[in-house]
Amino acid sequence: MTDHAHGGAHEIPDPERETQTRTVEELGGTECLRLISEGGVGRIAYTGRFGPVVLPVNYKLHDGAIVFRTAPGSPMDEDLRTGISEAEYLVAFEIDEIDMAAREGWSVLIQGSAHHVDSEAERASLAQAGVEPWPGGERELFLRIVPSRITGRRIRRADRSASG
Amino acid sequence: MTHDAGAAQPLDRDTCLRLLRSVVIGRVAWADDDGRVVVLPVNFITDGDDIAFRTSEGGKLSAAREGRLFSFEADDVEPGLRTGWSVLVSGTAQVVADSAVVDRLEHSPLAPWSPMPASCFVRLRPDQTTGRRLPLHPGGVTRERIGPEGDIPC
Repeated sequence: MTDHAHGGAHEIPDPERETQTRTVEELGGTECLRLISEGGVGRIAYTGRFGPVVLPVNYKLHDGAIVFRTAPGSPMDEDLRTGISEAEYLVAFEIDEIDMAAREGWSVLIQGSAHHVDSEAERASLAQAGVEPWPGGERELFLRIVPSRITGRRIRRADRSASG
Repeated sequence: MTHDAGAAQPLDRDTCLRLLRSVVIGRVAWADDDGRVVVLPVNFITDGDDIAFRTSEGGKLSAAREGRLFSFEADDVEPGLRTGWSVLVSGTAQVVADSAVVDRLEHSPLAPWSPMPASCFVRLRPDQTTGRRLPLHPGGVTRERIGPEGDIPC
């Protein structure tokens, strides 16, 4: 953009100049997995009965898959059941970390199918991995998203980028 | 509390709108023809009842031009306290063409964070706005830690 910023907001740094110092980089799958490996809060997105639904959940990364808990019979549980054995619902899972003050951050998008964890052995393994529900209460259903595509982006100050 | 302390509590529309104005980052989501869902963070503002954000050529803009159903989600969560809220707005998105509106949005706090060639504004007109508050996880932390009674943890 060649337009000059119009007046106002003299006391804060010129956003246009600030913007020019930021770079956007695409992140590789390995870097994405590293960024999200600690778990925390992510957002599950899927096509519900009335369009896309996005909800925050507490997740863990377990054996390369996103795992979280919800309540059996909840709207999310019902929405994500195809009713067809072996058929699984396509979902997206987004995780980000954004530093508002520095205007830097990254986001990772995972696309894959949602799998209901029904077997006792698998449930026990996930429970042991410490996948905690959030919020609390009766959330005994484990859902697992096996990534089929992982993409990510990072915005940061140009002088911090690897390329300089 | 004797009921399920973990159950999400629905929020009314006014509360949802007030909460949306308290944050600047949200996530937009849409699905393509194959049912593949995309969800990406955006820097947004509320413009009346609408959600507005800036974008350049890419998935978001294509989806808006194709008139796909959009959803927008914003939240503020406290993982430490395991409490917070989340608001979901669903509707149709359109690229802002009205130059007066574009000019107004240009002067809003929607400055891009990185160079954005040929960017334009997209607005989401809500058909449905829902929200929920996630109560504290049962544990040693009390509600009073959040703020004055009746205050919204944001």
